Amino acid sequence: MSHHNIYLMVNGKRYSLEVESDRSLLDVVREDLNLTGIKKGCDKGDCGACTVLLNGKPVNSCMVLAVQADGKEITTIEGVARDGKLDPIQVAFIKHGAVQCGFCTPGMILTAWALLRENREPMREEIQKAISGNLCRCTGYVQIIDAIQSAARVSRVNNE
Amino acid sequence: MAAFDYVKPPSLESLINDYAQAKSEGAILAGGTDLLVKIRSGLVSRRVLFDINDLHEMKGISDEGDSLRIGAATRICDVADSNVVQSTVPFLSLAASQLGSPQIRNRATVGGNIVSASPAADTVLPLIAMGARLRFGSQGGNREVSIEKFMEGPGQTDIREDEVLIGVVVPKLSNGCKSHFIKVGRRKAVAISVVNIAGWIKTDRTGVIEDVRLVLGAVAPTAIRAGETETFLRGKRPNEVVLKEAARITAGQSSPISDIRGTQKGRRLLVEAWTFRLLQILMTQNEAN
Repeated sequence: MSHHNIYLMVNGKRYSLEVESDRSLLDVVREDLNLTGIKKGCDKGDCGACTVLLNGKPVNSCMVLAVQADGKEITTIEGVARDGKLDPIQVAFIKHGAVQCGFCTPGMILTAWALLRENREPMREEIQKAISGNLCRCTGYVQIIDAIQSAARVSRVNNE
Repeated sequence: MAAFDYVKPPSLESLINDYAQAKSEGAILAGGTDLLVKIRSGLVSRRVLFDINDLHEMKGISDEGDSLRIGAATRICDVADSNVVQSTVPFLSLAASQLGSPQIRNRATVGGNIVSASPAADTVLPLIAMGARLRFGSQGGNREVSIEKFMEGPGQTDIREDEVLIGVVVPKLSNGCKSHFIKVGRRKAVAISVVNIAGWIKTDRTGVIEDVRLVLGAVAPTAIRAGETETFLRGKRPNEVVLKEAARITAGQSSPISDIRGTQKGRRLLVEAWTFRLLQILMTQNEAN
């Protein structure tokens, strides 16, 4: 079959769609759902700009077919802020100057979000490893790592 | 029009039947990290993809006593994080944890890393070092073949047109063996190995090497066992001179090419330097590893 009726749970909202079999999750989320936070960088799994969380895990949405995501939960950068309030990671990225051109930022923040959910107190090396699939050509990564460490501290304080 | 159709077979049996019927027009879709990129770039074209991601017969890691059975559709992240792999075939977990990037490891599968047959495939090295066997299913019945025999060249394998890789059987390291894996890339992540090396060693109580395996990747058309090095080391008491000589012999068994990741000469030097390092690590490692 080349057409499929699927549903996606994106940022907690249910979408029913008809998709062609060869369309990537990346293209469907950007073009059909108009959620353009995720970016198309290399379109072959090298850069991580298209990172989304698929059932909570970071994946390159360029390498997942939309039809494969049928019935699954997807989080994009649009789903990170809650009730109009930025997530501590987003606040920390702004505060630390971890955003320059901004192209890698949505993927970077989602990867960081998944890391902090599993590891509340990551070492710098653990952060480096976690974001190793998200390329940034502007910052040199130092500000990004600083931001993630600071967001982890803020989240720990908020939860205590 | 879509470039291909997508089918999700409800069972292993229907997968095998549908795949046989599709002949060369069909492809197995597991993680998609290799296949989808190849299709998009025009390197591969198929009429229909068969998604195996939800076939339970092809997923997961089970302990079968002396060996582990790993389903072909088991994700690389699950191999890297598996307690039983970490405790019984530690260097397989180590290799899996260095493949691609976190995003790729969350999708890519063991079966895909095997059948893609890249000479640099990270998990293939420890699998060869362990003498792993591949289990295939087809309408004609099941077939088992050693992974070493299966690999024939870059992207070339012994797989038959109607066969599906179901899983891999990996013997556990025996007690007292130590294992290690080293990946040398241009950067630490999202890098194809310039050279990779896997090995295990078993010494007797007096420190003499009883048995050893050494497998090299990215320096020959397939990953290769450094058989001459293994023969040289058996029965020897390792010291710096012996390990240096072993590393020199190992470099001689590689037949690397020059490409965008490294030159032929550079790769030989890397094999020698990193084999020495790997053997040193194996000799100084704690028993637990």
